[in-house]
Amino acid sequence: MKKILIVNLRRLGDVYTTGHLINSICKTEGNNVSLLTYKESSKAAKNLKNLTKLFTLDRKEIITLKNNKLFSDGFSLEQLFKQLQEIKNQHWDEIVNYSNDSAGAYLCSYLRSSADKIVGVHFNNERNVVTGNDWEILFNDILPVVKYSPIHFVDCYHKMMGLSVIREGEKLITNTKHNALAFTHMNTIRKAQLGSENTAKIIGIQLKTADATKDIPEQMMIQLIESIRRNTELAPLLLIAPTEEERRYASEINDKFNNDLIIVEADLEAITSVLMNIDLLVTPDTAIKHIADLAETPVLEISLGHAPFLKQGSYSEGSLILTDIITDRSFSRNGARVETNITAQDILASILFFFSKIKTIRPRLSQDVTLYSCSFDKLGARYSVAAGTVDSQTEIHRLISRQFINVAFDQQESEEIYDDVIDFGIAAATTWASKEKTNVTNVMKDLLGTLRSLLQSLENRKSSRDFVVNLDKLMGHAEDSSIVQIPVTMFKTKIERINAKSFEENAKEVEVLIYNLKADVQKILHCMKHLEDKIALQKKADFINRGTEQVNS
Amino acid sequence: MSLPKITSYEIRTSRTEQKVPVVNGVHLHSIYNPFKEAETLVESQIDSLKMKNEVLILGLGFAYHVNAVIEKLQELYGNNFKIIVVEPNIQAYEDCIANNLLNKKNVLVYAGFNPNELYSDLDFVHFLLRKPAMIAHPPSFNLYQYYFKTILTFEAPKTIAGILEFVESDPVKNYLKSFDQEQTLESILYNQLPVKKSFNESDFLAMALVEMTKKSVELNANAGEL
Repeated sequence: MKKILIVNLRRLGDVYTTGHLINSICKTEGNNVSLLTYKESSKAAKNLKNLTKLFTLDRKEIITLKNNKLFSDGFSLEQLFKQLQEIKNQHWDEIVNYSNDSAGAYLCSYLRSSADKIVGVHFNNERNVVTGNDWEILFNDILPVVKYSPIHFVDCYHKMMGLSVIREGEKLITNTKHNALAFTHMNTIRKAQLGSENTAKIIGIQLKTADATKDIPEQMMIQLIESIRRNTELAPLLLIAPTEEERRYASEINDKFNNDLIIVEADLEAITSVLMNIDLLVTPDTAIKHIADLAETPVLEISLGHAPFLKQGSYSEGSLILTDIITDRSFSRNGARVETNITAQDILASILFFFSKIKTIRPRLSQDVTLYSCSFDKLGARYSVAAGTVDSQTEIHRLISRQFINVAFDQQESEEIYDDVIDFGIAAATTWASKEKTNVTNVMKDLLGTLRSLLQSLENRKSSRDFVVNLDKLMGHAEDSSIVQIPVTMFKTKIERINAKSFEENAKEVEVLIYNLKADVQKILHCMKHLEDKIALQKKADFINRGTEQVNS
Repeated sequence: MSLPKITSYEIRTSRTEQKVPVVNGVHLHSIYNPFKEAETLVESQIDSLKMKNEVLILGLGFAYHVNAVIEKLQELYGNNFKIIVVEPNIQAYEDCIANNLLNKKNVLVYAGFNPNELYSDLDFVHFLLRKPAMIAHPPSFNLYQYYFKTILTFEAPKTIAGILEFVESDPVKNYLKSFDQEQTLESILYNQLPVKKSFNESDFLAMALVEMTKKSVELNANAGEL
């Protein structure tokens, strides 16, 4: 049994996502987990089950002490010291930096002497980043640069800790009275529907987010409610937080429906009970979405603005994500705002698709809108295209990147991924494979050139200039929009973290890393070979099917 | 800053038979009816008392207004309230206590503290961090105007030497002592530490503080530019 502290200095939604990891840690050998959050996010942490202790940092107080001229600056440092003292004065088997930000990295470095092991980004005394394993490099150095993340953050944290995702088990604390009340009210709503009580579905709709760019536009919201209400088996339920702003907005919308709508105003604790008793939550990227994931309530996420759904999207089996085609999306906060092509009709079609038993009939969506569904494979949450417009090259790239991670990091391969790639068509798969072959060949050429010049420079220092030029060229592939970006970025990160020693010692380390990169590139080639075999098989199958059809006709 | 100079001090009796301190010739309460005067003061502050259950009162005198505030807070919040009173005149405070004039319920009096001492007191600092309502007792505030204005516009020392007076925990003290005493903590945090080659444990704590407060510091700087 281990004693583990998770540091998460992020906002409410991020604190909720920690619930998955906490559940897996506790279910593994009965480990005991504590959590450190900012005081302002602690209301989310208080809802999480299986926590031994919750520690908080009063950041607002520390900031006031630091910035207000009345108070000595010394107090801010002293308060931070005091607030961490209880953590510092005990021994931890592991401290996990879930924040993945500088404040978390410095805090974990400060707490280093109180733990046997720090998982996640932290520093050594020379302030170089310390890396525990390749999953940490994947998380900290690779995922921020790849355009379409092949792995979900929650899964990456599990891998960083060497844990398997355990999805079973209650992850939230709920209030029995709230649960009973929500159960009764939701049944009353179902009974009031024209359809049968058993078939009536309650659709929870989250009206607002903390970030206006992620909100469902008002007009679309009104049209969505109208179309849901036209369906006799669906009942909309508007969800808002207990704030004046949300009350006002809900009331404006309700005015348009003669105040007939049901609006549920609930705080973070009560909302769990509501979510547990509805049939589907339609929401933009919000903390509520993360609560629904933990409560195992299905979600239709409307991913707008910079919401990074490939990294932090809905994390539950069967949930759906509706988005503008990902090649049109900017997942960065500073990216230009793009008008969405998603319509209320797309949302309704996705809702009906969610409830339909025959998933082979896919909803027809607006041009450049895609619907993804969430399923789980060995690596964790996987988003597969369920309907809509796709850029097959981007999707294949995303899938094979995931396959490469499977092979290189986990030494396991997923046949399903190859099948999914083939689903995009033999032509698309062949185009992708042939383009990538060129990229891989270029990297291999530069890799061998670098290796050759390294060996030459060991014999003759005058060749070291060539080596530096070649190394630079090789590392330049970290910028490529190609699958080689992943292993080359890994290589580049490790090269940059080599501590300066003698030329011979450094050369030895670089040589090992070049051979590691070569092994990784060979793994890409292995994946491509496997894909080509699948393409050939599919071609054969298609040929046979065509022949059979001709005979039959 | 030293405490206000008291050149004369006496206690008189109001027409309603209450004791009234007279400092440097100034009556600190009504010589006619101190209770009535206190009630009027509380009524004038009723809106802020309805918003806050914590109150900072500048000036104790003989506490008639403090007792009136206690009564009002009790009516509004039951037992859930707190009052801090700041009074520069120790003699007046001692006589107030000796004559049993202060209802001490949930009240903490800082008597005879200079501004530096006040802002070194963590209880006082934490109380201020909770943004209490503030009531200035008009006669006391006018009499000790310079003292109270110094408290309200206080600026804590910025140099390490000055800061050390405020810090009580030894590890933080020892850490701060390792720097040039004439430097400000601000310059250490934002200029010196980020370029330091080798870090010790406390450096990491200090850098965590930098990162946690960074955005707000940038916001302040931008606001200053505007």
